[in-house]
Amino acid sequence: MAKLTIEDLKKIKEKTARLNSLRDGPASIKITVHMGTCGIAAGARDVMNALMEEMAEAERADIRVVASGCMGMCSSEPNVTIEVEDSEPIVYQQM
Amino acid sequence: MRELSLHILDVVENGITAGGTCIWIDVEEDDNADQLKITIRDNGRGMPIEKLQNINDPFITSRTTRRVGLGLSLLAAAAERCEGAVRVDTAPGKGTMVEATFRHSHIDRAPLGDMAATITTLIIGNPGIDFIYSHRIDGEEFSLDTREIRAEMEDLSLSDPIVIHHLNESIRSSLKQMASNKKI
Repeated sequence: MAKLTIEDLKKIKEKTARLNSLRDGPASIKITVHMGTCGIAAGARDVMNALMEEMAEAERADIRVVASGCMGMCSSEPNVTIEVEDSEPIVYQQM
Repeated sequence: MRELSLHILDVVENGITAGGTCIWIDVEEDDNADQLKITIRDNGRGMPIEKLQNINDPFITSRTTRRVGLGLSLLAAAAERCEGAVRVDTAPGKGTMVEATFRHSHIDRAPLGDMAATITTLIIGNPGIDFIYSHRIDGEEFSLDTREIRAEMEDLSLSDPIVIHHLNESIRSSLKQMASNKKI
């Protein structure tokens, strides 16, 4: 039976240990990828994975990425909302 | 939707919207029976079964019954297109189970697609939710349980981009390995 082994996890843990302290700080930027049926059909999963790849390289501790449902603008999916602390949220369309 | 893994992502998001905190995703590919079976179960609030009288009807949903809308009817269409079916079992307070079957070799069956991307997308986007993913191909099994991983990682966040990157690679290579081990 194939399974994610403890060794795999330990390896991951070592690699991420150095970043741990970095990520303790509060997040000041929130990125919401809208993942309703409409968003998923339009490619929101690719957007999410692209964001993760970028985040892995950027080593930014102040950004949080979350998924949410349809925001009612299905025709402009995939929509991504970016909220920066102390300013108005911005919705990026047709990502 | 082009891939069944996208349908899975969609149905799981439904379960999370319904208050599920733990989601079970089962994929079973059985060549002997020529069947592909996808089962998604959540521990959310469930709903009265009457609301599901006709899951093929995309307009059965409304603001109050948002749980079932286009998503489930699209999955039902994808299954029925290839001699399969979708079955839903639910009751208020008991969570919901969605089971989709497909004739594996049917020419109209959409490819399963990128399961690794679906699982990691779910983990990233829903930090508080646990996922138990099991994938069987002709008796061989791959499984992943975020509860176990969380326990092992201690203070490290599961949604850390680097953790996610490794999870993605690990799922991808395990599934590939299983597919290539398949008896011909």
